[in-house]
Amino acid sequence: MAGKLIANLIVMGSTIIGRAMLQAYRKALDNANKTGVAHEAINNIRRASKTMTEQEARQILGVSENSTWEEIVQRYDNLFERNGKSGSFYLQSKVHRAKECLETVYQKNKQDEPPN
Amino acid sequence: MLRELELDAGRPAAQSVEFDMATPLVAGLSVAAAALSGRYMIRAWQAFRTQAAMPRVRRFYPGGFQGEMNRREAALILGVRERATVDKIKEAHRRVMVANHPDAGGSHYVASKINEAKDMLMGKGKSGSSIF
Repeated sequence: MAGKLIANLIVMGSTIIGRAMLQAYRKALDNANKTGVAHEAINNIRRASKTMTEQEARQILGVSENSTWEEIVQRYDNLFERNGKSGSFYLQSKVHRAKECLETVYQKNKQDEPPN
Repeated sequence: MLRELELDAGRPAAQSVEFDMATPLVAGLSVAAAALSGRYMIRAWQAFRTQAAMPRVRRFYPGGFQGEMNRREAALILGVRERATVDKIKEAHRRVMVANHPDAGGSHYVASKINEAKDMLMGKGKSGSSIF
């Protein structure tokens, strides 16, 4: 009788613990998705081998494909200074990276053009 | 009388005079050496401080904006904590928008990002109801 009772208790306890652990695991996954941690991890892996695109760089600086390098530098200086004053460091970073990206593009274009 | 005394003690007097003459020269050289040493130390300290300051320059965040914004990026864009109060979020949004307003030379793309960040932090985004 006692042994049988103890066995029942053990089986019941194990079942409850197992179910609780399963729920906790699912809850953890759900929270990761909600707070963006999982998404951020995926993005970090993806971003490690990727930089800003030219299109996004132009969007950030507010210039078109016909803009000259002088215009880009002027807009960059303006935005960088103003974000330094009342903006955030993150936006300052994006403006800086955008200029770097376009600088690479314009240098490439300058090299490709044959000197007349 | 005084002259006679000087003549009588000729050699000791001469030696004494020589010793007196040497002291200012030694003192002057010591002061000059101390000054040069101090100047060198100051230069070394400035160079050290300059070198030490270089690595502390903040590194810019790499790459562009994320494909889909999350709370962390929203907080970074506005320059506030993820759990900032609504008042702080509104204040930060106004401050950052002043710097990036399209009517004042900013770009529409960045302005839309700033507005999206504010909406996300104030719980108007898809994951706004989450406690974490």
